[in-house]
Amino acid sequence: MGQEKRLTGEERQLLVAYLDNEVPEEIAAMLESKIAGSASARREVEELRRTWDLLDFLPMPEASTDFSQRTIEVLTQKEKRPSPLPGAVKSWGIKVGSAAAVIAGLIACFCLGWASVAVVPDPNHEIVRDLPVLERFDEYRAVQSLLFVRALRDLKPLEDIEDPFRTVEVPQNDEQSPE
Amino acid sequence: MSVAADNDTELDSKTLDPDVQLMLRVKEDDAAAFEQLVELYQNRVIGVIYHMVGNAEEAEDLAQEVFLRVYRSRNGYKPVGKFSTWLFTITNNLALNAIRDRKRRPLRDPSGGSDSGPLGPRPLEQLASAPSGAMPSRIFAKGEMSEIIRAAVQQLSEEQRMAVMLNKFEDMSYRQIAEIMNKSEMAVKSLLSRARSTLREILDPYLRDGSLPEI
Repeated sequence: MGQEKRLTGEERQLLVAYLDNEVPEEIAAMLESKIAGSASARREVEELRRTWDLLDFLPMPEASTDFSQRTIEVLTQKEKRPSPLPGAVKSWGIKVGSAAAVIAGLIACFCLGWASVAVVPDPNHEIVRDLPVLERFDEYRAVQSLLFVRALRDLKPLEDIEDPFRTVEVPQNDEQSPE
Repeated sequence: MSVAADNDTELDSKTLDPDVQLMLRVKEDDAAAFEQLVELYQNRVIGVIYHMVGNAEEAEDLAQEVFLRVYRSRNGYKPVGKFSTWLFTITNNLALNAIRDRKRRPLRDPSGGSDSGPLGPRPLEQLASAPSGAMPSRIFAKGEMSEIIRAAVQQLSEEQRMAVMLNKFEDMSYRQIAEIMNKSEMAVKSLLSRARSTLREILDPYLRDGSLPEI
């Protein structure tokens, strides 16, 4: 008497797919050979088949007679409600609205940027303002007294001089022409 | 998938599936075609949802929502694959969402009963108390048998139930079921294998000698 070929766990998992014709041919052939040689495998296959056939007795409710009519009525009501605009107009409306929203966003960003520049003090601003003084700082320091400068301004003795602080080059003796 | 392959699938669907033709007419705002589609599929959609949610009235409401979504999505519909695959994808999503919502907001049982399932008194509990014969060995009437099988199906997980319904009653391939349930074919194979083994175990006493299974 030949020993019964028992199904492995893996093969058992393939039985349902085999019954549904969802396994490749070579696996189906292997399973058929196993099933032919095993009474327990045959019993298992038979039980799976019978269980599956029992599902034919599942209660299946049918739609009420006015189901399709009611569905269409609901649809008509819902279609009427949301927008009185025709589809194309609505679609263009959405596009224009989106573009307007993007433009408004860009303007808002620009304004925010400008405001932040205007409100936050520029650290270079003071230096730029004082630049004319800084450029002549050495000359102002040479004067030493502001009162003296003011007095000089009031007396206007240097009015005719284009630049009172201009350094005058004094000619060297050896370059003087012998006269 | 390449564009050419997509176009081929689209062409195949258009020529082979008459329901795709109907849906293309719905896309052109043909109300009669929509009504025809509803009538063609209403019982099938209600049947699948009923075994997911376990309540005929809720199943009909959800089925109506399925068809409303089909109509609302008509402009974006592409005739790729079978129409039924698209329809049952919507059905699956809606049914699973409804079950999830119900789990978040569990229904209160006004009777305060504690030994009933989520779908009300378990059919087998009702049968057990019915004076219809000696237990455990008995021959069930057809109505009783339906309830036993329904109760057995309710023991499966939601995903197993959906896979079983699509496989058994919509005669769908594992590939189609995988597409509808957004799973791999291997996952569907495993779902169906476990579902049918569970059903076999539950219904084993009934299959052997007609006795009431323990659920």
